[in-house]
Amino acid sequence: MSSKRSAEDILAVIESSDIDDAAERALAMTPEERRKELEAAGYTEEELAAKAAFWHERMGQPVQLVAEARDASHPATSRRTATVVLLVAAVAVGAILLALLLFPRLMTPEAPVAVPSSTAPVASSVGAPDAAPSEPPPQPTHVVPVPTRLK
Amino acid sequence: MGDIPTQQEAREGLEAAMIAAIGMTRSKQRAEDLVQDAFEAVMTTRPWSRAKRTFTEQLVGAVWSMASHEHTSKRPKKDAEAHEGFHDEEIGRHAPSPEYKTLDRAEQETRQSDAEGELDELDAAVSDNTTARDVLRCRCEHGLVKAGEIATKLGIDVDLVYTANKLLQDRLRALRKKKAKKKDES
Repeated sequence: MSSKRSAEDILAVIESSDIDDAAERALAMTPEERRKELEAAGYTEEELAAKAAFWHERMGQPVQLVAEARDASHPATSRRTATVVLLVAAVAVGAILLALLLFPRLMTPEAPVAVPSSTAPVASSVGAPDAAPSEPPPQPTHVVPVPTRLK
Repeated sequence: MGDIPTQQEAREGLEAAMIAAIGMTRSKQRAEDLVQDAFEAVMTTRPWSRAKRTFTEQLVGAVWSMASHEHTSKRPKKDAEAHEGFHDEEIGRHAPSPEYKTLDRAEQETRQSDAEGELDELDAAVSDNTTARDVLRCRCEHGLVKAGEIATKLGIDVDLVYTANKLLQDRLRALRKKKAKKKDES
């Protein structure tokens, strides 16, 4: 017996023909034919309608739930609030870090390294606002401020 | 996430799926379980797209897929076990050797020849039914699978093809049962 399909394939198709035919037949029927056959199998109109309503509701449920959850949480408002909170937190963290960096510099008096050009005493260049204005101007000095950390 | 059917689409799908499932399982309870599984599948792993097919086609397709899987998962298991045993005993667990490939090819040829013999036996077994014989020949000579296509080719009503398929299936099972019994006795 010559064939386009292998003999094994043909036998496999025959073995599963009840499944294939049942699907093909169900799809080929009209809704009225289906209803008649289901009634003959013992299903009532109400039973089928209830089952269909149940599945329809269940299939729609995930979408409804997501929509409800979305409405309930008001995403626009909560997103705006979250952004503001994050911004405030970022600013606060930035301010703390800046303060930590600057604090040692501000609190530690910088000791200038003075390279005197003469033997005259060198007045403190920093933090001497109350120096007497009548005093003669100091001799020019080369003051090289050294950062505290390098000392 | 797939499309959501309307209530009307869900109703039509349910009814078609129920008819298909009853035809496949011949049991109301099993059919209901199968349809429930099909609905769950469409909601999760087999999402429906309205643009591709109707909801009825999608749901019946899911029922068909599950029933086919149930049907075919029994046989390959047996085949795989037999094959596994042969592999362990004769060949070892390494890459297939040329000898193994030759044996495998020989085994395939034997299976094919057995299948051809079985088809001839089946042809003889349905000699009392012209339609069944015509359907079998149509499958063999033209490679047709769907009952609708066979019905068109033979110019007969599709219901006659369904009946012929049922007869072919029953006779094939009977032939195999007889062979298995004979084998056990010998």
